[in-house]
Amino acid sequence: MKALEVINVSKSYNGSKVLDNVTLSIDEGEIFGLLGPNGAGKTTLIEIVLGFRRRDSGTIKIFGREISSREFNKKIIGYVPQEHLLYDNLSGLDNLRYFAGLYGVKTSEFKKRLNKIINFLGIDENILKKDVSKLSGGQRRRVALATSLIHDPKIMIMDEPTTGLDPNVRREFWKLIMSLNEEGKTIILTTHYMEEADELCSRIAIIDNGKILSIGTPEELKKKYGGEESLILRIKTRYLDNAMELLSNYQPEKVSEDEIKLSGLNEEYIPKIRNLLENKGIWVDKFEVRKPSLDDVFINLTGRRLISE
Amino acid sequence: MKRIFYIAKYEMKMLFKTKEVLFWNIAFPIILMLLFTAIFGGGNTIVINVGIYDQDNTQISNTIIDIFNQTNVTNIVLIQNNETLYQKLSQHELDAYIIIPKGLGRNVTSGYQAILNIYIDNSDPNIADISKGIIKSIIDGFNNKTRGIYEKFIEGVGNFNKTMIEHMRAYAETLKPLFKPVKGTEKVEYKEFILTGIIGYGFLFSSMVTATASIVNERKEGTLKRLLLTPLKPIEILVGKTFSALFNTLIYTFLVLAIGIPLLQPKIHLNIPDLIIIVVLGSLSGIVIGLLISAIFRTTEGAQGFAIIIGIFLQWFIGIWFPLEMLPSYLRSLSNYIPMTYALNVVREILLYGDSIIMHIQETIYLTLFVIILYGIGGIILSRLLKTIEV
Repeated sequence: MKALEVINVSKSYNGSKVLDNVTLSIDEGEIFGLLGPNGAGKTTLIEIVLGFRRRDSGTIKIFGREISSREFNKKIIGYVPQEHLLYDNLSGLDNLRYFAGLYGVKTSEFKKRLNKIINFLGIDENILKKDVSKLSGGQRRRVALATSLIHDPKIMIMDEPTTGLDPNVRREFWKLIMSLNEEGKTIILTTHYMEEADELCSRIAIIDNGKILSIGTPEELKKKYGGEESLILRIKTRYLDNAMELLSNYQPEKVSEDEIKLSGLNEEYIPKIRNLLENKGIWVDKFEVRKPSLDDVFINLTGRRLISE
Repeated sequence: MKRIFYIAKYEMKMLFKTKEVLFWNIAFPIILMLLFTAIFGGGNTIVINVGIYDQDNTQISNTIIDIFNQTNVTNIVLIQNNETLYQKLSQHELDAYIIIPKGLGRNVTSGYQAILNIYIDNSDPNIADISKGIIKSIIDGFNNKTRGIYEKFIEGVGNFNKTMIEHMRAYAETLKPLFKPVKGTEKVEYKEFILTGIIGYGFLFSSMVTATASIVNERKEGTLKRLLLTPLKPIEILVGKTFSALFNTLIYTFLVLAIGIPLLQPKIHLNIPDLIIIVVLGSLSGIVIGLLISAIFRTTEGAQGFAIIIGIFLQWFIGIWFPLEMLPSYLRSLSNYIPMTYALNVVREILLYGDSIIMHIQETIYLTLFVIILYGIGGIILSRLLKTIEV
């Protein structure tokens, strides 16, 4: 069953197209990533799906049902926006109570769901008693996620869910997202972190300048657009020129003052290269096999890097 | 140094590109200056409404009425019978009334001093004092004229006997005013006036400004977006916001009374059920205006700023700080278009004079209609806005 279908959706602002004939479909139970730089159109697409913005043209279907420009099934979708969108002067618990009330969750049901969610998200009950304004970024994000889960939605849309979080918290958040998916929720997330998309998503749509450039699993994309594997050699700077000369048969590429890249080679070549250089008194500090990344995919698709941390 | 110059230059550029900032920084202080000049500046004439019930209907009584008519500080209402008098008094349409008793003309022409009973509406302490002063000075003027005649007569003729001189003296003090309070209008002190005025202040700030802020802050903080993600209908958001501001005003009102009564020890009639009804109506009038402001303005700063300024303006026109009669007539007529004026007036009538809301059914109906009509209009506008808003 398709959880979400976006068919030929376009949107312009002041004559410039921010979404250009976007088409994609997301299966139920997937973690689907929209990967693209800031300003690519990811948030606009999400906000159109949510009904916050009108689309100029195109069709959107949720679980097979076409939705109008300003409509979406609020009980089916949970949304985790970029900003935490909580009431700062209320406690986390009050925020949860408030939103549960707005979604029509009964008090007895709320208690059950609350316990489940705080256990699931690892939220300390004492944290929930504090005003949101006094919480750390990670804690706020968890509370915001909790408010989005309180009505038990089938689809979770997360807009840059880990932006601004430190790497450790981000990794914890990834675990949560995967657990949610294991619970049966379809996850749609936008991100500009390649690692995040690579780690989490079953399929990825690469979006740039309002256009979907390609859709596939991370492996498919890397295979198709990521280019070859390469071997990276780290050598002391004073030996770099000699090493380049000795490796000339492998078409070496100077990457930095102490790094040489040998495209198309993998770990099998390491002993041979090591012997070749050590025989001439050049010691390799480190060998690294670099596999194609989503960044390479993005470079090959757009001609530029996807800027990330 | 250069960086500071650039910051200053571009900050100013940005500042002056914002229309709201231009208004608040330049236009508003000027408007405020003009307004204060209009209210407190010289040249304003206070006109008091004086009812005259002429039971005498003689040349002398007509002369007295003419003298009152000739002044530009009294608006004379001729009363034909007791019923009209009581009706006008109950509706507080008269600041004072004078009964010219039957036989006054005969007394005067017979050379006796005539006592003029003047009844002052004490419900507004400031207006009562002003009315008293005005009426007294008019009567003094009348007496001075007659004293002039007497003195010329004494000088011109001379050699009067004692009895004749006494007669003429009495004639010189023809009218003796005897001020009495209108029955049922107890003397209201300023502390009572201001305590009730502060309740009216809540219609503007606890209701109107709060209502505006509740919508615009949600927009500013992005939580409106979060609200619109829930199954809430726009109309539910509006009603929820209305109730929040309404409760805020009711709590404010009771806090004012809870603090004001022991501190000021005013003489008031605590008719709580009727007070609640009128405070709810006054508050709803403010809230609906506040909600409309939040719908009209595009920026949160603009809406909130405008609501605050409207509140600051209106406080002078609804009778919070001073009686509306102290306003020039052209500004006083403006007050009649503000629903909160009526609400505050009824609050005063209930608390200060023990009136019931039934006695002010006209104002109550007016306020109810205002609230219903504006909520109808505002509800449509705001619902559309919330439905079509690109948050």
